[in-house]
Amino acid sequence: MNSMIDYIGSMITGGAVFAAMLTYFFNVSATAVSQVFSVSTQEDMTSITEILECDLRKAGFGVTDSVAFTIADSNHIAIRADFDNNGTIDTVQYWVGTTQMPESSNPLARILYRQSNGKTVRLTPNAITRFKVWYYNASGAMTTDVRQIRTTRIAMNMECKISYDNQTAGEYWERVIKPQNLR
Amino acid sequence: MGGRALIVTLLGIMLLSASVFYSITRSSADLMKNVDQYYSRQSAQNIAQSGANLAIQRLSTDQTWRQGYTLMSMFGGNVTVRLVDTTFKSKQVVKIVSTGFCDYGKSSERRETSTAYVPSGFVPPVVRGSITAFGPLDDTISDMLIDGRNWNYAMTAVTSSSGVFAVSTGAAVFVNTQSAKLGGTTYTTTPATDIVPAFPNDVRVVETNSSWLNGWPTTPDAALGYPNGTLKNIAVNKLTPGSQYVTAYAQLVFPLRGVTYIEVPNGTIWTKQKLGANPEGILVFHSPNHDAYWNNITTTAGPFKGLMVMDNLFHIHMDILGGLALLNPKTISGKCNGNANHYVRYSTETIQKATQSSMQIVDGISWYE
Repeated sequence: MNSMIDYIGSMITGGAVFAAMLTYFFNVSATAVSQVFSVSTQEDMTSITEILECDLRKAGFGVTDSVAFTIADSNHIAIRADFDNNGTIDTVQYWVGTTQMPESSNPLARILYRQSNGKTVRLTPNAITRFKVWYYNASGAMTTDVRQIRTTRIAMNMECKISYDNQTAGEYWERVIKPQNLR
Repeated sequence: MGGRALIVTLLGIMLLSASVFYSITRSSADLMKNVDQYYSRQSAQNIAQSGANLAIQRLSTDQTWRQGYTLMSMFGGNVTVRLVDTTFKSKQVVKIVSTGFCDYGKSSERRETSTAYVPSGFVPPVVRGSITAFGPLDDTISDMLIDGRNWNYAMTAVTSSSGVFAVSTGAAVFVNTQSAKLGGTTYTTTPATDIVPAFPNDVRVVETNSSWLNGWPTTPDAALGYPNGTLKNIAVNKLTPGSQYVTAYAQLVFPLRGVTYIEVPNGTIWTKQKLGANPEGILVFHSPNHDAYWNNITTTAGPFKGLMVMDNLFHIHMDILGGLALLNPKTISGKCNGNANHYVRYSTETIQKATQSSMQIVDGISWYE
């Protein structure tokens, strides 16, 4: 009888330990998967912001009519500069689509586009849930007058297009950029 | 389940957990690496920009400086700066290429480049001679030494074959009435020949009937090729160090530096006013009808170094290194001697130095980064 009680007791204890280990294992696995998605999203964010910053820093280079921006909307920006330093003024635009990104279940998910001299590319396979641009004049006041813009502030939220366990990896980036040619 | 089986199972779970932990650790390391790279990029960019700004600052005090820096320590990184003379948008500029390094020489090295095009000082087309005027200069030069050869700023040497006429006038005839010694550079030979000042002068150092594509400039800005109002704006707002705008002699602050813009009413005559000691820069003396007249000018010490653009000037009892342009076609005539110990010497370097800072205001610095 005693050995039966020992046997049942050890089974219950062992089962509990086993269940706890399994639960822990699944939680850790979920964290690991989330981490992988976070890394991927963060790398994607730094890559596209590098492109965006590189373009914005050139704003106004070689421009003689003081118009370094042709579009200055809150979610659409068009920058004028001699981007490839060949003596010809080019225009580069960034904007987010108006419809939900098909691959995402998030109704705010949009596609971020970059257009350079008429050629449009999708910048990231991930979803942009917010792309907002503010424009400031020389005295720091907000403006939409393209001739007065001296500073831009850009904020962007990115979400991984794949969710895991109902969780989506996301990144936030915000930057104030003062193009040297607009000083 | 036997005890042994349980142990094996637990060991298996622990092994899997270790594998998962390793994955998490690696992901965390990747996240941090990504942040590091972003930081390095930004640091390198900041270093590059600072290097370019440092060079611009240095250029503002020494226009001939081209040495740059090689792997100079800055903000925990290094910067290499190169300077070359080139053209940008058809204008003479100094191109500054500044490369910022983060973790130089390591596998994690990150470099960013910032390029600045800084407008160079220039010699305005109005400066065709040491003294240039649309009207006659027969008497204006009195018995001075007028040298169109290209002197350096320190006045220790002449750069050969790069000077101008001694005098350039729109008048049909020039007569050296008071035995001035005239020299300059003639481009009638290849290469151009420098002619030492002498009396009687070599006819090749005098230009008569000088013609101007758009007519003789009637404003100081037009003389320098600037949009109208530029020089006055620089002077009024003191946009370059030492610049000043005055309407009366008593308002002048010495020593003269930058752009000194003296604007007086039509018909104003200043007599025997002094320029202070060792004046430099661009000196404008002008009235709306370009008939302001400075009669008898001197300094309290040293020569004027730079470019003088005046409506009218007579009795030049001082030395000038750079150039002098007179805007009024009715230049003054009359007897004027006793200036044999004074000179007007042309100097590209000095005029460039005078126009350098104002050019940066007019054209700005272009950045490519």
